[in-house]
Amino acid sequence: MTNAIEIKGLSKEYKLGKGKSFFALKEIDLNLPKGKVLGLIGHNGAGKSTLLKILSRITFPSSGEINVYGKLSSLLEVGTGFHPELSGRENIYLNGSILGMTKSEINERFTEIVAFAGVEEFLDLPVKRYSSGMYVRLAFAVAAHLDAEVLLIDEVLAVGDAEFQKRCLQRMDSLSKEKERSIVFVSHNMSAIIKLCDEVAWLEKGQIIARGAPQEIIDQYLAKTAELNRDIPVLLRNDREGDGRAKIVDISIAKNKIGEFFTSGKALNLAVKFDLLNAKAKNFKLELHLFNSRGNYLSTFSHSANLSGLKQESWLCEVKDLTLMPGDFFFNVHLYLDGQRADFVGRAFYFKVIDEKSEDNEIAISRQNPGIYLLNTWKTLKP
Amino acid sequence: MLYNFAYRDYRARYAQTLLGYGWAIIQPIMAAAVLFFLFRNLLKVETQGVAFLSFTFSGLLFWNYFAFVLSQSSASLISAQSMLQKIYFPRIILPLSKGLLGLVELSITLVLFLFIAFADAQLKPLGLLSFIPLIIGVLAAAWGLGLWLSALSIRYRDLQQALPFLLQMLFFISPIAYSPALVQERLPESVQALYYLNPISGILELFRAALFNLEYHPQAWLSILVAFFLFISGWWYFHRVERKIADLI
Repeated sequence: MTNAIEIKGLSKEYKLGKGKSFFALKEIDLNLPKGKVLGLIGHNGAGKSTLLKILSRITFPSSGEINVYGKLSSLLEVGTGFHPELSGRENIYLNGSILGMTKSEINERFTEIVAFAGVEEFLDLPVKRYSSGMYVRLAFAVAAHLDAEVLLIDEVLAVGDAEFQKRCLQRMDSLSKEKERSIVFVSHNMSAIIKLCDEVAWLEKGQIIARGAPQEIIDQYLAKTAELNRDIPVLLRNDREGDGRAKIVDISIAKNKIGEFFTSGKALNLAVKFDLLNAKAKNFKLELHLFNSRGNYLSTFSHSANLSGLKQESWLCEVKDLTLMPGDFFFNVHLYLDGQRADFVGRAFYFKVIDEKSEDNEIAISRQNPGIYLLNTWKTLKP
Repeated sequence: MLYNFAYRDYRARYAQTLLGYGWAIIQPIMAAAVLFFLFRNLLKVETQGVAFLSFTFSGLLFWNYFAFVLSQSSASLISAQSMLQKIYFPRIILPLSKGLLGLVELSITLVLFLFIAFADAQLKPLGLLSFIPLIIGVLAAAWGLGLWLSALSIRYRDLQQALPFLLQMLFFISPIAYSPALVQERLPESVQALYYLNPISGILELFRAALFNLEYHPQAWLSILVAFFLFISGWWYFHRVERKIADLI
């Protein structure tokens, strides 16, 4: 099988002054076979974006060798090449040309690009008047219709609605499967990685620490992430999302405090404290999303209320029967003010569910993908 | 791609402006009016025997294009920072495209100049042909300096502060609204050639010589050499630092 990208001993060193330096990438060896999709995962600052920048020739390596076979195109940030004053139509031509397409190539694909982005009616409007969704769709549409053999895509799907994300993934999938395009895809969206990628490389501190089948590497990665976030109190977490008008400050088990262990079928009482920071909003809504240790979504608990003039608020969530299989679980917590997300903490709270029978616990640990426990009874039927 | 970048700037420049191209007409006329009052009425400078407005406008024609291309191309990398960090394209397109963008205003000024020159001066229409090679000379000088300054200003932002000042000095030492002889005759003979290290001086002198049928200093040709030297060295330096642009900017 021929390779689309070959990377050998690649390092990127940044000088910090005073004789100090920092390796953004260190001794990377990586090959991407033609027509395959490689996913890059890792925490922020692990070197994923630097690697894509080097591959796109935006920045150059300090040492090592890279060979890219075929025309390469990259989408590292949505709409960077767009000029706000220009119309959608003009921006398609401009962006296409910056990304290396000729005018006739753009003409050929023009209708397809416009249809994909769904901006037919707004083609002659300056893009500064576009909604952010339209902006993102148009930018992705141009990049996804390039005639490049190798495509690099950084975390761009984080923006845009779910419907559009799905179409982007489908488009990338068909590019690789039908047209033999090779893709390097960076994302924090694990389910997108699993759907799309043939192989995953996990970067940490500038080095590839694991490489292999998507599910396997992602499981390892999520287990590590869980460990890292586990010991940080919610208040101190700084990997938040949302506009920051209010802040989730504490999540703890209330009442029957028995550590972070639960027995399946018993009650779970969770207290969530949040700081309103004098935000002016009428409606406050809290959502707790329940996931199992593999990151599969199980359920949502939510509550909303109309508040005013308060600084801090604590709500108690009571689940009468926590019918979960033994294993590890966590909550993502979202806080919405008047429908807009003000704060979000991923993996904000961990807990373990154990079974009274210890042998079941061992099975649970080896399974690592626990689900919901449903009450069931058995009896023997007469033949 | 060069065209596309220039077009992008062109659209952005005139978007949501009240007067649009009007600015390209108003600016040189206002400048000529001020110079007329200062140099002609107050200082009563000599302009090689050519009518003052035609003489000065021929200077502004070249100068405005030079100043525009130089200042725009010098700032081109810094003002496209985010793009440089996210998209690959040959970096040199950015400063070079400003030469194309400047053509819009240059052609408007040229039309204005022709109206004025035909109305108030004796000129050799054939001499107009020299405009094309000479404006290329000016472009080479502006590009050359622009390439140097854009590449250097990645490291030294001070240059962006220094440039307007530099352009102002250059405007006054260039024979735009006065005869070059005024300066030259005061210089000792041995350093007179130095005057033509300023590419604008020699190029202007050659253009006026061709158009108004005047004598010119043989060393005026030196300016053309300087212009191309600036361009080639600027090109060389730009390519030398090109790979580091995204890291340093």
